[in-house]
Amino acid sequence: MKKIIAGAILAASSTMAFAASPAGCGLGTAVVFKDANEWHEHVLAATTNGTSGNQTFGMTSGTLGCEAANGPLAGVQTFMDNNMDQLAMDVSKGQGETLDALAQIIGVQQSDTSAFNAAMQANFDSMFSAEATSATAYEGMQEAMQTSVELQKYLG
Amino acid sequence: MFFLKKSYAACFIISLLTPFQSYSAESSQTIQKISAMQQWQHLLHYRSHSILGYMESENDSDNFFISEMGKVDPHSELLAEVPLFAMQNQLDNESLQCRFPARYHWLKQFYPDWVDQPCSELSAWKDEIDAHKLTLIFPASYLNSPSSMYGHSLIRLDKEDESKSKLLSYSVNFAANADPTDNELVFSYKGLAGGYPGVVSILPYYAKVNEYSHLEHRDVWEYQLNLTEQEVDQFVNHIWETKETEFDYFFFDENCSYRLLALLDASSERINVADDFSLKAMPIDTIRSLIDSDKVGEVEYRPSSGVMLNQQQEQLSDEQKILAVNIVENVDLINDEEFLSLTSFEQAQVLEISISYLRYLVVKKKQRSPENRKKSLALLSARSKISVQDVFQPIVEPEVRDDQGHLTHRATVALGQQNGDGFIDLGMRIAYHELMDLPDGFIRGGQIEMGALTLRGINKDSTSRDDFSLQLQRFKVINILSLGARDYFQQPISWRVSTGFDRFILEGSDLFAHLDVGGGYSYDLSIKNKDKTSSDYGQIYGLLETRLKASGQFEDDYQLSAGAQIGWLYQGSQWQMKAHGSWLPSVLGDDFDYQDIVLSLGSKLDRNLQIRVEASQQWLTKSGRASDGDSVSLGLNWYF
Repeated sequence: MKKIIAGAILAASSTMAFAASPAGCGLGTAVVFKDANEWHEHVLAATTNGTSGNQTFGMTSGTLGCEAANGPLAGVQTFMDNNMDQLAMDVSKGQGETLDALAQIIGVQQSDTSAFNAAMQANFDSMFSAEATSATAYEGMQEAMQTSVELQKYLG
Repeated sequence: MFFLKKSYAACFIISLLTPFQSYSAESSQTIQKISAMQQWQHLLHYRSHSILGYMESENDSDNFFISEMGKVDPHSELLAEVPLFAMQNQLDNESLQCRFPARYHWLKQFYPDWVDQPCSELSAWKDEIDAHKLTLIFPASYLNSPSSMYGHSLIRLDKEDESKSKLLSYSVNFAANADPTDNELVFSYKGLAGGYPGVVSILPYYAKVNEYSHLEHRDVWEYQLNLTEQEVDQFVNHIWETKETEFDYFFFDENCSYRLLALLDASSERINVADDFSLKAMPIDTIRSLIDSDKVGEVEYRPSSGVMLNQQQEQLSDEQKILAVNIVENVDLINDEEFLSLTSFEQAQVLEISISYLRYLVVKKKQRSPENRKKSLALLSARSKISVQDVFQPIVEPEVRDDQGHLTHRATVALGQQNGDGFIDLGMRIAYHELMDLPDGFIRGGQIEMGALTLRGINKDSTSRDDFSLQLQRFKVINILSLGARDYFQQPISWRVSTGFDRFILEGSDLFAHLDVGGGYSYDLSIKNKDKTSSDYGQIYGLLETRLKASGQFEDDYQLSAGAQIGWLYQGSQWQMKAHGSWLPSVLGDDFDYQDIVLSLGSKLDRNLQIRVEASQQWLTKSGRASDGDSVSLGLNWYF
C-alpha cells in the first residue's frame, strides 16, 4: 500500500502557484510503465472508505511551473517528467491528449499542431532512446523543433 | 503564523481605540445577525456538534481564526474580523482581506464601504489557476478492486477556453495527510479514528489522470458543475483560505467527498449540500446530491487504459490478436513475413495492442523489468514509423453511469421456509452492492458489502402462534468478492474475503463467527456473433477457499476448513441469476465436511426495487453421518 506523502500543500509563493516539487525538473524519469497495487493491497483499503484514492496524494507533486527551467519552455520539462509513459505512447502514434497538452504548454498555435505532432512522431527515436529520461526527451524535442520551419519560433 | 496572529491582535486593539464604525448598537446588531447566517457558518466550516449541540468548526488550525474563541464561537470570530477587514492603507499582502478573501468578499455586501486592499500574491495565484468552471471528478470503481467502489472525488478547476487541455487544469483534493513512517495497520487505524489531519491540496489534473486511468485502470466520470463565475471565484478564494490549515479527517464521514461539498457550500449561498452527509459520505452519493439539486451540467467519460485495451482488441482479427501477443513475447517478429504482409493500418493496430498489452503486464502484473522496458521502446519506435492515425473506433461509453445505479443502502423483506418451518427475514445493509443486486451502474463481478444485518422470525409450528422465535440470522461485517473475467489479454485474479456471523440452515444451529478467504479464476461466457454484437451468457468462476469458524457449538470451539467453490453468474439489466456450490472438508478443529448448493434468481421491478427468489441446500457430514438443511425464500430488496 502506498503511503501518503505530505506534499504540494498549498503554499503561498509570489511567483508560483504552489511550491515546486523538491525533485525539480526533469531529473530523469524514464519510460518504464509504473506498476500499481496488487489485489491484496486493496483489502485494507476497503475497510477505510476510499483510502486507495487518497493514498497517492502528493506522490506526483509536480507543478506546471518549474523553477529550475528558464525561458519560454519553463514548465515543459516538468510536464514531460510527470507524463513520460503517456507521452511516449502519444508520440509513437503522432496524436493524443498528452501530446496536445505538451503542445499547449509550449504555446504551439492551433495551425502548427499537426506539424508539431508530425515532428514529434518522426523523431521518436531521438526522444525516447534506450537510455531516455525526461531530460534527453526534452533535448530530443528541442532538436526536432529546431529543424522545423514552423516550430523554430517557439524555442524563443 | 503565531506572529501573524499576534499582529492581527495588535491591529484589533488599535481599532478598538479608534472611534470606528463597529461599536454602535446598530452595528453590533448587524454582527449578531450575520454571524447567525448559514453562509458565515459554511465559510468557517462550523457545524453543530452532534452530541453537545454547540457550534464548532471542523477546521483544527489556529490560523483559520482570528479570535481565540473562533473555533467554537461564530459571533466572536466575526466581531474580531470585521474591524480588520475595514482597515485601509495596508501593505501589499498584509491585510486580512488577503488572508481570507472569500469571507471578505461575502461580508462586503453588508459593508459596502470597505475598500479593497492590494493582494498581489493572491492575484498571481488566482491568475495561475485561472479557474472559470468547476468539474467534479469521480473515478469509477474498477475491476478487481471492489474497495474502489467507495471511490474518491475531487474538483477540477477549468479554464475559460474550452479548447484548453483539461490535463493542464488544476484539481483540488482533500486527503488525509498521513505520516509516511506509519505502517499500514497504523495507517488504517488512524485513518478511521481521525488520527491524521486532512489537508486541501492542489495538483495538476494530469497527475490524477495518470493515477486513475493508467495505473488503476479506472474509468473517470467528469461532472461539470453549473456555477456562476462569481461562485467559482469564491470557491477559489475559499481554497486559498484553507492553505496551511488542517481539517479533521475521518474516512467514514469527514472524508474527501464530504469536505469537497463543504468547500462548495462555502462558495455560494445557493449551495447547501454537505448537511445531507452527517453520518457518512459515499463519493457516489455526493454526486447524486449535486445532481438532485441541479448543480450538474454536462457529464463526460474518460475511459481507463483497461477499457481501451478491451474495446480495441475486439476490433482485431483472431490472427492479429495472436500476433500481438506473440510480438510481446518476441519483438523480432515485427521483421517477420507474417507481420510485414499486413497493411500498414493493420500493423499499426497490432502494434498499439501489443504496446497496451505490454503496459498492462507491467502495470497490473508487476512484470516491470529492463527487458520489458526495451521491448516497449522497440514497439513504440516501430509504431512511430507508421503514419496512419485513428486505427481504432472511438471508445463506447457505458450505457448507465455509476451515479445512475441503485442507491447505497438496502432494506430486505423475505418470506420463506427452512426445514419445513416458515420464516420471515428482515434485513438492512449499510453498503453497498453484492453480485445479485441490480447490476446497472456497477462493475460486473464486483461485490462489497459492509454492515449487512438479517433478523429471522421462525414459526416452528404453523398451527400455533406460540412457537414464534426471533433470532439474529446473519451479520456480514465485510463481504468482498471480485470476479474479474479473464480474456485473451487481461488476466485478473478473482478473490474473496468475508467476515461476520452466520448460521447453518440446520435445525438448532447456533450463530458462529467466520472468516473466509479465497482466490481463483473467472471466465466470461459471452460469445461474439457474426454481426459484431455479442451474446451474454454470464461468467463462470472457481475459487479455492479456506474458512475459519468459531463457536461453542463446535468441538474444540472452532473449525478450519479448506475446499473449493464453483459458480455461474449472470448479471442482466432485467434478470440476475447465480448458481454456486461449495465443498469444504475440515482441516483443523471440529471434524465435519461442509457442502452446499445455492440458486438465486432476481428481477428488476424498478431502479431501486428488486424481487428475488433463493433456494439453498446444505449438507454436513461427520463420521460418515450426514445431516442436511434446506431453505427457500421470496424477497423484496429496496435500495434507498
